[in-house]
Amino acid sequence: MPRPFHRLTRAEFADLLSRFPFERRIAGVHLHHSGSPTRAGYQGARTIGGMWCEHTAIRGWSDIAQHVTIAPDGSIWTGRDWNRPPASAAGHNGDRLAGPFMVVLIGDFDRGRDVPALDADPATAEPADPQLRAAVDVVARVQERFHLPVDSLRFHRELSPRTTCPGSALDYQLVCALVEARRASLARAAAEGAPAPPLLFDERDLAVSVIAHDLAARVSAAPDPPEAEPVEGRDAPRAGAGPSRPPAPARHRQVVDESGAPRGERRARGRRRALCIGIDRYEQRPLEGCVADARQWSAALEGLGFEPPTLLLDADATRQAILGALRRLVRASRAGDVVVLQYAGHGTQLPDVGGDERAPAGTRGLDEAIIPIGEEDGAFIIDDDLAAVFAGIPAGVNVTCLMDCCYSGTITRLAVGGAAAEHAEDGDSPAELRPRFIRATSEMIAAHREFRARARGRPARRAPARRDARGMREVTFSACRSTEVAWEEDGHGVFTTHALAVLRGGAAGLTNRDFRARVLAALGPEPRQHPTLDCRREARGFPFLDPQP
Amino acid sequence: MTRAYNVGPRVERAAEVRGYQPRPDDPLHRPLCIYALDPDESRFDGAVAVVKVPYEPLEPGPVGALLAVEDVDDGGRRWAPVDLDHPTALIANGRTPSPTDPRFHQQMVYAVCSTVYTSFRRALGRPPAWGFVRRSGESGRGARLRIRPHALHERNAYYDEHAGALLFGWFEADEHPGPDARTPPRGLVFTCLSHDIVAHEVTHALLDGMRAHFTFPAGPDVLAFHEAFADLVALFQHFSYDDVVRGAIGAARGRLSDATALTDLARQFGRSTGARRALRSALGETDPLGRPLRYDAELETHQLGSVLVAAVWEAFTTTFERKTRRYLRLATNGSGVPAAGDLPDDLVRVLAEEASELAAQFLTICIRAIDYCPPVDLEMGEWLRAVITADRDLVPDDKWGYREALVDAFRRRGIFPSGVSTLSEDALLWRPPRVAIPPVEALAFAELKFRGEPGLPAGAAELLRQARALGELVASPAYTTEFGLARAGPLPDGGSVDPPCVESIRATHRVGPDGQLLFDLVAEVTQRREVLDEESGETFDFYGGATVIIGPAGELRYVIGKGVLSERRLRRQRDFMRGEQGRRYWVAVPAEERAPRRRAPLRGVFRLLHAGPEMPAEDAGSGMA
Repeated sequence: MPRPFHRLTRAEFADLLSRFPFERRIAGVHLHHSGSPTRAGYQGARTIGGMWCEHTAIRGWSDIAQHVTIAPDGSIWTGRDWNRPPASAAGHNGDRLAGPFMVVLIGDFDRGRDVPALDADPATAEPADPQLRAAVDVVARVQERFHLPVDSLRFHRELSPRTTCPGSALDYQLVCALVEARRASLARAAAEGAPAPPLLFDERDLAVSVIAHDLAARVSAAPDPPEAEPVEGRDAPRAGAGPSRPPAPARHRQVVDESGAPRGERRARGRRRALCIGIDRYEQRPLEGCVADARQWSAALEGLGFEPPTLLLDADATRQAILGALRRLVRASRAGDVVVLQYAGHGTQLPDVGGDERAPAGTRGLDEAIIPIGEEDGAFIIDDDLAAVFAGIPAGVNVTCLMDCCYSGTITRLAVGGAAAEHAEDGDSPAELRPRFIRATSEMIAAHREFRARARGRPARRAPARRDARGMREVTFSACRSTEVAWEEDGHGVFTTHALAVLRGGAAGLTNRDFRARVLAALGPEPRQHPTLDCRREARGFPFLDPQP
Repeated sequence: MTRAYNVGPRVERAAEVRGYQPRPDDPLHRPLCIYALDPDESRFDGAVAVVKVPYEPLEPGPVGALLAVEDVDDGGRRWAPVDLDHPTALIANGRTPSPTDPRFHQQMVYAVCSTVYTSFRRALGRPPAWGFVRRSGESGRGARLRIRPHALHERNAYYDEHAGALLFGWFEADEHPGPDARTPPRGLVFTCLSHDIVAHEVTHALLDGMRAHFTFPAGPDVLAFHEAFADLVALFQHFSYDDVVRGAIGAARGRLSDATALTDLARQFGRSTGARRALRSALGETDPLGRPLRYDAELETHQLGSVLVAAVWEAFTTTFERKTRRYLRLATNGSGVPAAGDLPDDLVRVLAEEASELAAQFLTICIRAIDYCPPVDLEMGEWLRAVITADRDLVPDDKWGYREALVDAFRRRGIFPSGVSTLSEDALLWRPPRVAIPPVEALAFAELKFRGEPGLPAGAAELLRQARALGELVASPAYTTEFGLARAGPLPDGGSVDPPCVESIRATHRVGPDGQLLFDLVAEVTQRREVLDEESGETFDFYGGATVIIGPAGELRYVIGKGVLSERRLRRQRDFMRGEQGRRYWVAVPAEERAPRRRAPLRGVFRLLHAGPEMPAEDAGSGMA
């Protein structure tokens, strides 16, 4: 677990800087930007926690890389112990005795991206943008505290030729001029300022005193290597997001599990492959976060030692492409392999046209379906289609499905979304949330019937008889219960966001049951949706995303 | 095209209240230590109490689903937040009461505010909504009242209705505090440690959430009522603390009026400012002949409020004496006069239990009556009618004469409702509409959607639907007058009237004729009229409208109207604005080019109200546009 990260105002940062028991001499200030998360994607403590997960779980570092992180609203977040060297730039991190103070700005400050105005407010000579104002203030105060020259500020790109960090739009000379002006105004204020009013309570009760103590708490992990250095954009190359950046050295990616054995070695017994599907561009009720989800899952799985996953996004995610890719994965798998099917998109319910659904008394016979691209032709993927593919899973292969949609994983269960989904569709939901559920219209049902009728005219793959959980060979995590709705919020599926956070926090040694419990816990005390786990009983205790025992 | 009616922003805001929904395994309560009165009291008088706050998980602060304590003092210093979910705090009922521990201060304000909130929730049968706007960054969670225990270095504490915050001050005591004061000369006094001040302030926030226009100073009674109501809640809250009640009743030999620990409000505050007595008392002022101070529209706001407080307190003590006379007779061989010396412990215990139960009932009566008040320009006599009607709806059979005692106490202080021929209970009840208005089927109980229980609306969309159904009705020309409204547009006197606005719509409960629990809807409809004052050449706002109570079949049970075209009311508001009291709350605002000058209520009215008469209006805030 990360220790608490504290949000500071500029005044509190100044106070903390004056109180912190420095044992390490600060010799300069390194400035970075995060690339990703972007300014728009900033979500307070959750974002800082995500960076911590990234640096510890994926990179294997002992703590978050930087000493402070500056948010778009000007908040200054504490990071790693200020007495420890940062993971700032290979060969420039210093040691426990001396070295740089590392500052990260949240956002992508490359030209053409989300760059705030760099203008200074004429009245104060400080940047008008709160984030840049805080950044200049932090740099100026650290330099004042350690009597450093203004040019002790170093941009990451000066230290590492392979990056534009902290953003091509940030001009070094301009930033230095702002820092110099700020230092002059701080010196004036110190000379003219009135003494601070007496304290109301004991000094030890001040929040900064507690934070200073907390920040200086030692992390027992081994020191980070001197060449530790972050790569922008959260390590994972983003498809279509410009030229890919070189990955970090392999040994930094190695994640160490609780037994101390590198996870990669323990899992070397079989192949680890995945199919990641994300669809936003529906004709009806388009979504916003599914493609981003699929990319995130792909990156996270790769970080866990999977082969680069097959990505099917938007127009590529047709029924034929999805089932074909899934079949290839399953057929090529051998005992000891791990196969992941990840899907983010809409789910629905369709009337059973094959007559094979044995509906409980009083309910309709319904097939559950996921909606690939081309849904207007009735080319849905119903549970029977998936069951037919999964029937071919060889023994000893772990096939895990991660379904961030309204889709009940048991395949035999009938109600998906249910009444809650219908309410959500009626617009009775907060504006910032979107349900991943479409209620089947009469046109969709007609197209589905027609498609299935055509399919029956061709030699069909035989769908297996209906199964109960005991017959399941796959393990399915679904985003919500059958009576709930899978939501997306802030450009990602809620399930995906929390599942990936758990993954980043370290999934070593987790069983399927544990993973589901942790995701549920991460959703907070009053979750809007409850992720489910469906598999045969004994598979609940099998290792999550590891070969079957 | 002009719409026939508007829906106010508070309608949807009611759906933003997202209190914690307990899970089956959750504990019921979180016990927390507080000062039952303030740090000036002796522990032997029950100064420290353990309150059972409804359980909810808390982040350090404490920050819960509805309240967020943020301890940044007036110098910008943040004090370390208390973590009440820490095992040490859980095992020890939170922090030990201490004036020198800022974390205890945070715990105290959270515990008292949470307790008062729970009293409102229980009385109303629904979670009360806040009146302020949810802060940016709180997307996905409900609005929370911010509480800043050390926000001001001044002798003040107030509810900032625009920031959605309670701000508490601290100050140095006088060089010569009263002889009973435990605070040393020039010692620090924290208003956040006064139970009464915290309860009073959070009541302002809750009342503002229930009624948007009760901060609009349309007449002398409006702000006086806000003050009186907040004092009443703080007073009746005293009775939640068993040790305090037992100690005070024992010391006063069973006479509530002599139980100063129960009747005084904010003792430490009063004593430390050299006043040698509490800030206020429930007993109210009397003339040299011992007659109670009577209602007078010219009285200062707090004085006027104290008339109402004293009336309710008198009704409470009358009822208490009625209910406990039998115990006194039993304990005194029929004489009813206790022998000299201490009362027997068992008698004190019985009296204390009766007093606590009765106080809880009076608190509920007072809170429930708000739903039955007109939406604007409340007059104290109207509150009496609201109390009588609301109580009759909940307890049809008034066995102990609570309502009679209230009517008598109001009568003795000259508080009379207008337009009532007698003070009989029947005459005081609100009436159904005078013209036949068909039931609104869209608002029948069968058509309403809830989230689990009738007190919780299903969502903002459902509230909007309900508000629109009512809006269609009140905007119908056939019924406009019945709701105290007028046709929107210019008026012959140079003023104009806006379209009516549905301000709120909420569920409330009552007991039906067969003892069954019924759920009504309570809605406020208001209408703004801009008045051009020929004498001064200024314009100002004047509001009319109605509170509408709708029964389970969609029938209109009561329409409690205040006519927007009423000349009597307009004269009253104009007189108030020109009078000594009104001039404090109404200020001139800069006129836009070629627009007439304008007079508007002061922004930040509670800061001025609580600072006392010495604070000039210009220090309190700027006028509302």
